[in-house]
Amino acid sequence: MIFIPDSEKGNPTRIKFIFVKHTGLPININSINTNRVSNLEKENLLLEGLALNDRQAIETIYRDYYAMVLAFILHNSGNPDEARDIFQEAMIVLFEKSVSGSFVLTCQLKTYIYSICRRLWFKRLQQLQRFYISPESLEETIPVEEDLENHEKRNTDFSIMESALAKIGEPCKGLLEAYYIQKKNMQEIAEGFGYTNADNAKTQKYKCLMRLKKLFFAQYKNL
Amino acid sequence: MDDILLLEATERYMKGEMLAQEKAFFEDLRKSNPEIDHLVVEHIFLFNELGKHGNSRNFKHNLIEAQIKLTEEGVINKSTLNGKAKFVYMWKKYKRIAAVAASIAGIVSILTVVLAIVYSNNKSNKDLIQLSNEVKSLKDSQTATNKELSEVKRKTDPKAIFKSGGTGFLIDGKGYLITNAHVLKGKTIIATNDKGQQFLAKLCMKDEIRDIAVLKIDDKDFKPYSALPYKINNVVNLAEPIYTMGYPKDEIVYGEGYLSSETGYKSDTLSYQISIAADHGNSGGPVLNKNGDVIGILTDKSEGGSVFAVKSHYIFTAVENLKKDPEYNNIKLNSTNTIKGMIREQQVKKVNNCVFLIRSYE
Repeated sequence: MIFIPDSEKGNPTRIKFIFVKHTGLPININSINTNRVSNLEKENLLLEGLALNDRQAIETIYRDYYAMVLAFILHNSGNPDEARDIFQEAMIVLFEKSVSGSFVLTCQLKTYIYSICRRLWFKRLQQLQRFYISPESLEETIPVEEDLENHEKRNTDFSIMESALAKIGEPCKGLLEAYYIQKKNMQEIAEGFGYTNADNAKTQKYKCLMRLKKLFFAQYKNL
Repeated sequence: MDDILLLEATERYMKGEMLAQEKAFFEDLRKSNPEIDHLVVEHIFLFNELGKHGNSRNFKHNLIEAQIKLTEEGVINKSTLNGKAKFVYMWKKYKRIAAVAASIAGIVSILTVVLAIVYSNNKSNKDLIQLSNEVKSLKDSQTATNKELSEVKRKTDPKAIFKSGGTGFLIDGKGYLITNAHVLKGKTIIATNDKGQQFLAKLCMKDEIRDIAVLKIDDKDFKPYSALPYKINNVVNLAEPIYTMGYPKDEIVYGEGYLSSETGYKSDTLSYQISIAADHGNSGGPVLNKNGDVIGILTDKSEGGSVFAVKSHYIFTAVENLKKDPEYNNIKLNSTNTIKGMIREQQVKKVNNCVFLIRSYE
């Protein structure tokens, strides 16, 4: 769903317009006339695009906010490579948040990204045990602890799934990845892996899933 | 095999691929069989996790591709910076080195100036003036030392024989000291303060029974104190924490303990029993409570190791008696405590210069 400001709720054509924009087609952010669409709407469109894994949205966010984060990290004893890593992690947080569907921007996207990066960076500095004094921020910040906790949880889940996939071995790994990650259909997969028909490939896929399930829950429940 | 069928059914169920009849059957099966229901829940969870995993992976892939593209375009500068950012980065990175370099440059320039002055022509004159000044100041300090030495000699006659010693403390800023009577076995009394200054003192009164003596510093070098930090207090509580200061050696020593009994040796009502580390030389020192009020005069030690203190009540009596003598009727006990509430270290700092080393000579 798209977050629609209260004032817009009574305007069905606008809502429809946005929905049309989002039914699977990549959104061309640049084509949206910024004079007509308010800043908030533009930012929500960006997040919507991010949730759909849209390249254009990713690039727009980079173009608009990367310089700010770079300046912040350099001012706080970091280097450009670290800035790149931090920004990348912030993008993943933003992605997770927008995918969760419950994301409603309560502040400017700029403020949100800045807060996330600031928090991530100070945490990194602490881990590196580099000397730093947490300065009072000149920019506005919002509390992001909860989002970062969720992010850590997702990171753990991600690595558990990753290691479970690595353990089931080939061809299972390839088979599952082709179907669930690359989203190929069973016919293509059967051909690619040399099965005589799609049904055989499908049976094999379910056998692989059973193994994955065992490995995944063995680790997941140990958390 | 059943598991695989169930897995397949779950996936179709999640995707909404089941026909209405099949769906109803599947849901009934879940309702009637908790084990199957649990398996279905697990499968749904697994599919969801797998789906999320796929999404994250695709996003990360996309993100990295975008990053590479933008780096090529110059939106993200990988390791080369320009403009203000570069300046800031370089400054952060090299400011320490710059600081070291700057201080070395500073030292070198100062040295150059100094050397230039040293090797300039008019140096000899300057040196001579300096030297003469130094000689003068040396001479001054020499005379001062001599003067002090002669004063010390005057106070402690080389022929004098040390008889006994202990501690005493001021009860009146005008120079009235209180101590134990047993500390004063000789006739000449010297009181030394915490800075090592010596003063002649004379005996005003001595009460051998209560082991109390009052002295008056009678020395032109003594500057009266405008106020004393502590007052005398005769209210005590069993077990209250106490501390003392005294001169078991040439330097002042601090010790702390508690009030063990309201009577002294063999229930002697003149004194308290206290538990504190004390040695010869602590005799005559003040016993203070936590507020810094003087509650007694440390006197002696039994064989068992208990320490006793003359009750502060007898300080009042001694002073009352002394007031009858017209020569000493200006004596007045301090009635305010200015160190109450201070932490111990600060209390001690204030009390320090009111406690004197007492020595008597024949």
